[in-house]
Amino acid sequence: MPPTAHWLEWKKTCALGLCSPVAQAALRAFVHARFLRYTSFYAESIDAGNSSATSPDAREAWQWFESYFELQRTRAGKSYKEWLFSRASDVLGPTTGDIESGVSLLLRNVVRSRLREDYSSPRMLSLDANIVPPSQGAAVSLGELLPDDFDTADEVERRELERMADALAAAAATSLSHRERIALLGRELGLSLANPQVVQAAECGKTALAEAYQTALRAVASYVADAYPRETRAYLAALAVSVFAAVRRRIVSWARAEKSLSGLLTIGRGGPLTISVTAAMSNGEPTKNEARSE
Amino acid sequence: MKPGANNERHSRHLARWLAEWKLDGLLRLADADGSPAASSPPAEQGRPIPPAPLPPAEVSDEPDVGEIRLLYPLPGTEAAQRPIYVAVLGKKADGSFLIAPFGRFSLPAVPGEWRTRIRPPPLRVLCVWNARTIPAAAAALSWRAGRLQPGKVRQALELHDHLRSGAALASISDRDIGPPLRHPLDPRLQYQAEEADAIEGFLTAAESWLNRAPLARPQPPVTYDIAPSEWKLAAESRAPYGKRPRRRRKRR
Repeated sequence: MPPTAHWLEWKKTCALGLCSPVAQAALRAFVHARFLRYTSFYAESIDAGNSSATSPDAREAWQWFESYFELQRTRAGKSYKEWLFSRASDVLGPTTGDIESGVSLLLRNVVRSRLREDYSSPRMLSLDANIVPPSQGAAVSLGELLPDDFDTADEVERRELERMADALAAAAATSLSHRERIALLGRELGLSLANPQVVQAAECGKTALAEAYQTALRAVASYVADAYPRETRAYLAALAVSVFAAVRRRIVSWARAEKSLSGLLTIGRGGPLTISVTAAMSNGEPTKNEARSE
Repeated sequence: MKPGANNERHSRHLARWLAEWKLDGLLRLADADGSPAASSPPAEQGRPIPPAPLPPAEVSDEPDVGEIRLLYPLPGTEAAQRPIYVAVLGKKADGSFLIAPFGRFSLPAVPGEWRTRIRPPPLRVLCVWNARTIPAAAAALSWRAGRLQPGKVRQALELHDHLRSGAALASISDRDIGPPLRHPLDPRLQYQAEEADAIEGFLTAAESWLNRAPLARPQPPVTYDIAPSEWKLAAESRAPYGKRPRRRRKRR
């Protein structure tokens, strides 16, 4: 493991090439080892072979690590180094453990980026593949997530679908608990479920509220499936989408009628914004400090 | 456009996004697999949050519209788990700022996310749906990391306006925003909840940090205006106890 001094040397010199040979070797070896740890876990988990993305040499691994978060070649463009050395668990400054865990967290993003193509192309999801783990109790495929392209000929069918959805939504919304309604309301208003006012309205902790949100989503989907067990999956998906939209509308209407929730409705989605953008728009030409475009 | 062409494009886009989402979950499992590598900060291990180190002076400068800022890794927040970059999109009359975070994936997930076409990977997707108006003091808990081109700021604001009022998008192609999100079991809903919590968690921690009594805040290290040569080292000999060191006579 490289000592903190090597990491500090790297931060000070701004590039590994300017560090002492000892520091260079130690830092490069550390990053390489952590990189391979991620890629070997990945390869074992999905039975992937040894591709160039999963087994880079130490020099490549370091280069990918150092360039991923570099927005520009300026000091500000390398502010991820400030981030790395500020993740201190103590006021006295970062320990070697703090720095190493930070490097690993950074590397996870780098590895994900390198493996993205390797992972997605041969394993491209089929439209019928189930994308929700069976443990979550409901099956849904990629094809069902996508919106339907209703054309004019389907207009009658669409209206019928919406009528059925309204009827189901009334019952589904009533069956939700207070906590589940607040969870749906919070998200509908663009608020975090960790927001103190949302948590207070739900009368439970933020973890319980986050669980309630997932439960509510599954409850709506299950409600539709239970009501029409003989319909095709495609039809049920379209119906679930319509019911979900109708439930959200009903939850907002319910909240408007509840005096105790008026505060939430006020903070949700924010107030009117007077934006001063003259500084950013005064000059149409990019400056040298502007982020690199493709 | 042929009927269903949108669906086919959305299908390909969504499949690639879902693959990245799954890959992210898989790599997180690698950390959970007994590795000391990416251990969580103490707050997440159930221990009390230790006093955060005082952000250095350059962290606390006033943000400017158009800047890209990197949020300070306040302990116990998602900002300490991954670098979260935000774009400063506007300033309100009361001094607060409209900021929008950049996403962690390479493709926009939902219609409120925009592919910026900026080259560095951390800046590829701007999550305009997760934009917030935040106090200047909280926005200042960040480092200046870069600057957006004015045209990009304008486009981001256009999408922001579109999300709030339904105004038509003029300069953003629908190829550069994510596919529609409607199904209750879509994993992107969970993703959105996580991202919203990340920003909200930072704001809550920032507020708490800023509201600490000044005395309770960790103080920057004291620096004495004494040259190192003037400090007496532990190994240096000193006069025995009770005996006054002899003073040198001043030369006349």
